[in-house]
Amino acid sequence: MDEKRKILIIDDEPDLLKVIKNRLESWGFEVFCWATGAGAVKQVLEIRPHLIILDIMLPDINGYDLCYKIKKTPEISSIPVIVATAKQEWQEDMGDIGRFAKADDCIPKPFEPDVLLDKINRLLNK
Amino acid sequence: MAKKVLVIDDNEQDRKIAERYLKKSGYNDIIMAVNGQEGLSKVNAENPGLVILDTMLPDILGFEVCRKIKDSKGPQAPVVIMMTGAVDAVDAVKARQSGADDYCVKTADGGPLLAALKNISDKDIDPHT
Amino acid sequence: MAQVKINIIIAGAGQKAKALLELLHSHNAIRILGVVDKDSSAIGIKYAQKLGIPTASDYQRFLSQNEVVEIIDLTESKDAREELGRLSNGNTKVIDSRTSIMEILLQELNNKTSELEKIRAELDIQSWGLQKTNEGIRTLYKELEKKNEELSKLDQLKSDFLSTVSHELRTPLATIKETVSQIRDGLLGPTTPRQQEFLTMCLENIERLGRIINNLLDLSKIEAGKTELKRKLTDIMGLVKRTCMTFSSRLSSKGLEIKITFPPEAIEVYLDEDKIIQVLNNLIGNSVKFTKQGFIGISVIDKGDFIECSVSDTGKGIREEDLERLFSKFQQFGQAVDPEEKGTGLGLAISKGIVELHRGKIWAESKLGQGTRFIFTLPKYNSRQVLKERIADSLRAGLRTQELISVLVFELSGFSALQEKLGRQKAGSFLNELARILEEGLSNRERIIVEADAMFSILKETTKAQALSLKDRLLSCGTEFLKKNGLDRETAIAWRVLNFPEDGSTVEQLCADL
Repeated sequence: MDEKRKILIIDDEPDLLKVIKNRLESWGFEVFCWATGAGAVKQVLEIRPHLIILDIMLPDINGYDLCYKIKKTPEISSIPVIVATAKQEWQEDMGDIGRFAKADDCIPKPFEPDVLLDKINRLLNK
Repeated sequence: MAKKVLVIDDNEQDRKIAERYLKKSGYNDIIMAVNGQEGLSKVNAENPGLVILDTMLPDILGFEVCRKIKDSKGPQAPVVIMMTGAVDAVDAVKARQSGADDYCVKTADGGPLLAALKNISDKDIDPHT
Repeated sequence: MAQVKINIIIAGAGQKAKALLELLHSHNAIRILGVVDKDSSAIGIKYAQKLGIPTASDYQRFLSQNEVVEIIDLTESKDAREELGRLSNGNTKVIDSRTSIMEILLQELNNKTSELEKIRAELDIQSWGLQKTNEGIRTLYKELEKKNEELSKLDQLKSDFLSTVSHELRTPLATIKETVSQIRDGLLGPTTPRQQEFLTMCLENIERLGRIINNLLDLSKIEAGKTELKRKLTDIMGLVKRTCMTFSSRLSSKGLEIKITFPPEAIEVYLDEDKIIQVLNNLIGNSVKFTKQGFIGISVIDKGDFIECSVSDTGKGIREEDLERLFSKFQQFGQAVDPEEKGTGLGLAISKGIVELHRGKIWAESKLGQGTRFIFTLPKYNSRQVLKERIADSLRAGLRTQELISVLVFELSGFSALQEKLGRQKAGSFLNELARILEEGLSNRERIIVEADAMFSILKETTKAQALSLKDRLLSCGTEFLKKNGLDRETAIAWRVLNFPEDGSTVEQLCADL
């Protein structure tokens, strides 16, 4: 059997991190969590996840800028990123945000587990 | 001792603003009238030393009220500051012609009224002191 | 006041007489009866005639029995004096002219002075009034500026508030939803069927709460003027058909029919697809919800300058007095036929907002017991009008927070030929691709907005010179792209650069020469 696929979730809500971690683990992923923008890139470089789920509203940095930063860092630029947001204006512009932040996909909060799994699988099997 | 002040204005908001800035300028004895008729009778009954008078009153024109105050009391007449919601040179001229001592526009921060009050106390044209 | 007039006769008509006439002829206290001189060609005689004052060679006709007449002696000959001396009696006085004139002049001077004083006093009042008015205007202007500043701060606060609220409400909702669904899905241990049932109910209500939050935010955004339309030329009939399709399972499960009436020709309207779908969803959803049997009718009518779209049903109808309130917030009329289809009470208010943003109208007609018809109109714009409006809207939004903005407009000339050559869809995606390429030349926060055959970008804190050099860079990228696709013969990129405040100090001024 393959080694477990690694997913890094970057979100500042500990409760939500906990439940998403639980859900992703039930799907068989190895899950890492990070709660701030600071040090996030370092985490990605260390963990080298197969996929990143990134909240667009972090306390210290705009998730969109962080995504851009990840995508501009050569060693990790190929890691797929799904941006998640609970903000109304971002939800309306999902397509645009993906395009701007160079994110690979996006998902609104609250999300449907099936939709999330579908997006993860599609990106991992690319 | 600060003199008694009569504010004649039909707008409650404007009366409150006037009251606030009068108190700020040290006038604590303040009475109100909501129209020209009431204003004139209070001038006679209460002998205020200063009248803050709106140009637009529901019953009598503010200028008419001013003239009546100045005519009826002669040299004993109170100082009159006319206030307006509209900026109009003609209004200012009419105010002066009807005997007003100063004229200013109404603003939320009461700045022009404060300036007018300061003007009055600087000149000290109060007939009672 | 009646004025006592002094009647005078001027004796002698030399230079002096002329001067005297000049001085006195219009004086209202003096009546000049006549000028007498033997010499009818004397300068004073001529002058008197010019003024219309009678002249003669002797005094007789000017003298009166009843009135005092003063003869001002200006003659210089002895004979003439003797003659005058004979005339002096009773009512006729030959007087020392100089004294009399001095008196008049003094009086005159006094009058003039008091008049001047009056004028000066009047002027004083006027200038005082003017000064007061100036002060007033200055004060009010300052106040207005302050208010304006406060308003734009408030506006920003409102935007921030809306976006924070949506974030703050949805984040806990996401945690709750995910937790409940994990319990239901058995991720946290087995559950009984009864627990499952309750958890499902819980999830349905979470969904509903989510819908209410969305609707409330949609509406607040519309009301706060924060909703931006993303309009595209859209086939309205295709849009309606697609929306109807999403209702097919609900319709067939309720045994309802749908009847669609379209005009023979395709109609394309500039609209925000997602937003109009939201309106259609609302209207069709309402009709389905409140109709037990019969059909839902949907029609699109071409009315020339605008299209009229209607959704009708054979439901129980709405009372006439309720029709007005229909589009207000949280108004729900009647029980839904299916109790599980609980609405948010905001759908029609949002629909109204969206239609009005498109500058259309929406209303309802109903007969109790027969059904209800909702009608909305959408004006047909040409691409130029839409572009102008989009730029104006974006500028207005930008100017709320910025003092320096440039607008970059690119237009693809020969776009209609391109559409014919490539087909509408391909031409459209070609345009989008071009926009994407141009966008890469912008800093990462700037966007290119595509509108019909043109595109524009609002560049904050950018001077005209900066915008122009950026334009050169983008233009060469764009032209290269056209060449690469072999389209540089048919089409070319035209451009405009506008700068606020350099090219205009209001949005209207800036957009006027677009």
